[in-house]
Amino acid sequence: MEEKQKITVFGFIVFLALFILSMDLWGWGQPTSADPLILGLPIWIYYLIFLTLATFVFFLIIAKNVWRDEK
Amino acid sequence: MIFLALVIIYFAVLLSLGYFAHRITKKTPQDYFLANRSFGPMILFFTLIATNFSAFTFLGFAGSSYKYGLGQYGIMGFGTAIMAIMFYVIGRKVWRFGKEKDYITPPELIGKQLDSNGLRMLFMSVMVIFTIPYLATQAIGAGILIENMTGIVWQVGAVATMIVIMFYVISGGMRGSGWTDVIQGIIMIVALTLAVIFISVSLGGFESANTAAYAAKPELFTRPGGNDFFIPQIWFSFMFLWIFADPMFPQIFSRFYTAKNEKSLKTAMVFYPIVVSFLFLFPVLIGVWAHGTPLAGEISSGREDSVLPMMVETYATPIYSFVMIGALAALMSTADSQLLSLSTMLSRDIPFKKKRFSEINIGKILVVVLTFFAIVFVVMGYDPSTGIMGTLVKTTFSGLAVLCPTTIAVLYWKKVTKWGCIASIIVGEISVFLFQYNVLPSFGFLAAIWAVLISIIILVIVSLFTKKREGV
Repeated sequence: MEEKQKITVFGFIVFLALFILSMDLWGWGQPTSADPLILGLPIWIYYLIFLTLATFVFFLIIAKNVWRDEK
Repeated sequence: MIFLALVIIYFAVLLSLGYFAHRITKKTPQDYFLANRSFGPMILFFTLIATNFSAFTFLGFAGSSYKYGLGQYGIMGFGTAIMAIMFYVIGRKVWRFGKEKDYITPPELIGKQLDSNGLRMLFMSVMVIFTIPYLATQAIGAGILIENMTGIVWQVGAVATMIVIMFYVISGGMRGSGWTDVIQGIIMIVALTLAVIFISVSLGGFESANTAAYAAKPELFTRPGGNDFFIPQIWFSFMFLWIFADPMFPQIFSRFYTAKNEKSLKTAMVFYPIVVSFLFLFPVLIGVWAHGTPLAGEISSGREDSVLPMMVETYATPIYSFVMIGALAALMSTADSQLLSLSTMLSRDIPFKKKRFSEINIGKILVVVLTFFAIVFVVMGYDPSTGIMGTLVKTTFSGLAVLCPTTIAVLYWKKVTKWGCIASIIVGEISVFLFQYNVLPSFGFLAAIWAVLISIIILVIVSLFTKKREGV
């Protein structure tokens, strides 16, 4: 597999991973009375904010390493 | 009174920008419709943000979160953030083709790449039919805002806003739209940020606002949320939907052409999730917080989209007028882009003789005609009880998402044929309605999911069994 193809496959896998991680079915039904709230918000909200910011990092890597400008 | 003064200043700024844009715009379609492909990173970023964030962002999000809970942030925040990958997958290719072959509209690219006027017309028709209702919802958003500010019946405010938008779109073209989007994007971000700060302070702090809402309606802090809305199928559907639907909005697709270079597109893609991560949270929080306040008893079913103006009026009184200007900015920046992209397609993609009028003048006439149609839709055909969210998801998003497989195939797949694309779009659109109105079981997913899946299958099968014209 060529270097370019490898990078593209890697990018696709990371994209898919982010998408699957956003299906956080384990967080359904939370918070229960036993789950802590942070600043009054459930943990799964912070998880989604983190995931959104992780997307920013992913796009930064795509822009620098995968997206080649037209010559 | 303050609101009226701010509206006058705001409209004057928009009209002035439209006028200045008019003065430097050359009388060529490339310049009028695409600002001569000159948008640098900052203008392109703000114009994509302002165009995509609409009345739906300000009013619809707060209304939906009031009804269904914090899950609204998940389906909108992350779903929209990851959608920006399409700036790379679609935007990059569209920009390159546009630059190389002077394409101006989305249907032009799709049709000419496969040498098919029929496909071009079909693609355009779908974009136009599904965007006009969306345009009307921006006007409705303006109407709701103005009604809350002044007591004027919402239909009057909606019509007045559409007329103002019409004037600055006619004068400034894409350059005017891009410049006003920068101003409107900044106003929008500042307004939402101030709103959430002021309201949380009035409610005793961020944590107190959340705690009070949690005590009143704990189900809104969990999933499936209010009315058990966020079932896993719906969660998946929305995450998937934005990736396919958002780049198919003609006003977003057209903006891919306007980039000065690929660096502009890259910057927009990278920073999009940053803005979305906080900006989409704010209206959702405000909608949920309303349950911890006495206002909760005053918001009747079907009027949830009024929750944000009511919260700001009550708990952020000093900035009420400014925040409402921010909401106006959000919806006007979307509506002006829609008007321009629709008129561009109708004037360029319909193959009629344009001897008496230039393409630009036809575009301007169409802006007037489309404004009239949007007004008629608002006055005659809208049922506010379904909410902005309901109307949009039922019509626009699903219908446009069906165009995405065709677009990606035309950009990347050498074996795609015009018959594959035409069949994919027609069967996909029929599927939207069959699943939407439960003729076929959707198993809890949005109709768009099944429609996109079916359109992909049809596209591949028909393309493999039909021949591509030589030289295409």
